Amino acid sequence: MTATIILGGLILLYAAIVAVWKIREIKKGNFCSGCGGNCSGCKSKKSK
Amino acid sequence: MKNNMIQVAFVGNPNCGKTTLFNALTGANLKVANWPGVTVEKKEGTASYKGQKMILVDLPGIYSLTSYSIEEKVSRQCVMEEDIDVIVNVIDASSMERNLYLTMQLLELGKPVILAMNMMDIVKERGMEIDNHRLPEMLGDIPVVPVSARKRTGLNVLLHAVKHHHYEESPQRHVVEYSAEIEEKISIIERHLKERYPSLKYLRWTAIKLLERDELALLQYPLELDEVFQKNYEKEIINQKYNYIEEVVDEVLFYRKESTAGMTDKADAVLTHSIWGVPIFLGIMAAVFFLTFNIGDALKGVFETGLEAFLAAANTFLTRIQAADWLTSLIVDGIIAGVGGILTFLPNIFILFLALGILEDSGYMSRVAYVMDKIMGRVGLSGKAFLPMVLGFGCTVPAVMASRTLEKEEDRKRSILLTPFMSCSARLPIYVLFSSMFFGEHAALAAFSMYVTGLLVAIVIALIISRFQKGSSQGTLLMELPEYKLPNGRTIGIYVWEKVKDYLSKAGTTIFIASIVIWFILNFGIHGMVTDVTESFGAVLGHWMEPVLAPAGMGMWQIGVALISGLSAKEVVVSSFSVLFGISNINSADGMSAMSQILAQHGFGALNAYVLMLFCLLYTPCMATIATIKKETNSWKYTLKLVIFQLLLAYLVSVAVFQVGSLLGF
Repeated sequence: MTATIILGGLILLYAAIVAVWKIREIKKGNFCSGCGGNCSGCKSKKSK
Repeated sequence: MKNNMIQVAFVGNPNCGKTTLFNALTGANLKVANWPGVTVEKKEGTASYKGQKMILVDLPGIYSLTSYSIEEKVSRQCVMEEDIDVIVNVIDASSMERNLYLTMQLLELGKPVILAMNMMDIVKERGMEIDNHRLPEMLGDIPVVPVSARKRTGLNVLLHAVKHHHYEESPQRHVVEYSAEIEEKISIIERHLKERYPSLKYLRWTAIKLLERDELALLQYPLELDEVFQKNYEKEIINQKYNYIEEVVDEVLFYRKESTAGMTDKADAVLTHSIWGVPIFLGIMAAVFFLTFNIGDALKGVFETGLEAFLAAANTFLTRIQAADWLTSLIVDGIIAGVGGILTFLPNIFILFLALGILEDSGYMSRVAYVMDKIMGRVGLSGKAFLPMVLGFGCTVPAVMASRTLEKEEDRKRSILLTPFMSCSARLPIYVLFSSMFFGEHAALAAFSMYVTGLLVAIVIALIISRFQKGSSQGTLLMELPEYKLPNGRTIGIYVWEKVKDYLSKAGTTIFIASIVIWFILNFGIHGMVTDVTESFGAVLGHWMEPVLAPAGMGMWQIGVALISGLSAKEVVVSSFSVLFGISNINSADGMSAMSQILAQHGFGALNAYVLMLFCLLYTPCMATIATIKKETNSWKYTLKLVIFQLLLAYLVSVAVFQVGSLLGF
């Protein structure tokens, strides 16, 4: 039971963090979620 | 200077290697390709030389400081108005005559300029020699540094020059001496500018621009000097600049042996032939997809074995820790089936981008725009509009952004509308899976037909639009075709690595979440967790779509769910099938056989699979693309119209193909 809670919790926590991060990136106009960070806008931000 | 950091702008003609040089100096991995117009936004990076920190700004390529398109405006604005300490003018030393025109304009500006003569390796290969002592003398004694961004030579010397010459401003630098008539007018204008705009630094440059009747200069610094501005001197100024450039080139350039440029001409005579050019392009792309299929399939065994081993280890681990059934199901049927299934397509993606990288870097891809110019012209677009579409074979997002290189708003919108029809790499797993399952030895052909269909659909739509819409661009394509060269291992390595890395990152983020969501909607219903999948949220949602999709031969609720989830990213269609049908290794022979058996029970055959691929090709692009389209067009209305149009088109084409195919007995 404990193992289930820990493992399940970790997976769901990771999913939640990624989801929030993706939504914030898209809101910022950083579309790495789809282009894989390959668009010039994303690159520009990375290189700064 | 900002915070004691020298601000350096990299300016040069398109495709002269600015971004390659920028990457070499900053360690960045920005997209480079052997065709003009890859950089459409300014990008910044940092470099350091002997304790002196520098901010490097990579600008879109321009031919002159008289700007019309967006990327030209970006470059001009940055050079003119921002706090740039020194301009590094990157030139393709193997095409000096063309490149020096921009140099002359930059010199007239009066800001400190350093000339980086790139592609010196090509100069040597062609048996040319440049007099590096005479050249700076003829260019107002600016530092001239030979570099090769590809071979990473001369980079330190360039940074040294930046550190030691960034303050050498000379606003009244005279490099080109114009005719007495023009020089006299320049002096008069300079005098008036000084009186009227005392803070204006670049008097000579502004005076010349006013004489050329440059729109921006006229707006910023209006003068009422009718006797001076009796006529437009633009042509004369351009001609006199070119006369001086000719003098420079005559004096500094020598040929030791016969140029090898002839080889490019011979190759172009075949590859860009007015009749054979298009079939050759299609043949090359077909070869790329056959390689993607055959070599990719040979390599995927390793991934399948790895996935099976991982699956077994995960099962053992979950049993040992006595994980709850729902968690085991989430990990095995949801995450591993979804993410793992997608990872097994990595070899195909790797081969596809390796081949596209070689084609780009060799210089062939830019010929494609030239070859397609005639066809595009007939449908109301110039070949220039085809360049963003070529990028679309990789990813639609940068392709949509690349449409900025088009001058006319209408052309830009049309290009944005057509680009999603180019099959991006995210659709490849869908084609690989369904064509392998249903088309046996003709799988590669079935998948390749998707790429051709995408092209044809784009052309037909452009044709229809040009019939109904006035103002179609009939302009001639004016673009420089780079010389063919042996592809550079490092450039291709970076290109492929970036794509592979992006694919892996997408699998670990977007596809990971999508797999969990799909698992959730299949295992939960209004009364909580369900044992019968038909009571799940997914089944309820899918059943609503069943009657709509049935006329297109896709009347299964699972397909409806997979298509909706594919809006997050197109690969998710495949990972959804894994989760929906509970197949953990969908790309393996066993996985495909199990899946085709389930599908066959619902009467889903080759025709249905082909229609499904067709629908995935044409329907609404992924969310990232939609967001980019909104950003680029700055219009939700246009974006929404486009999304609905593509959805309707995909549906109508799919229904038509399925109905006709059924009638014909396929």
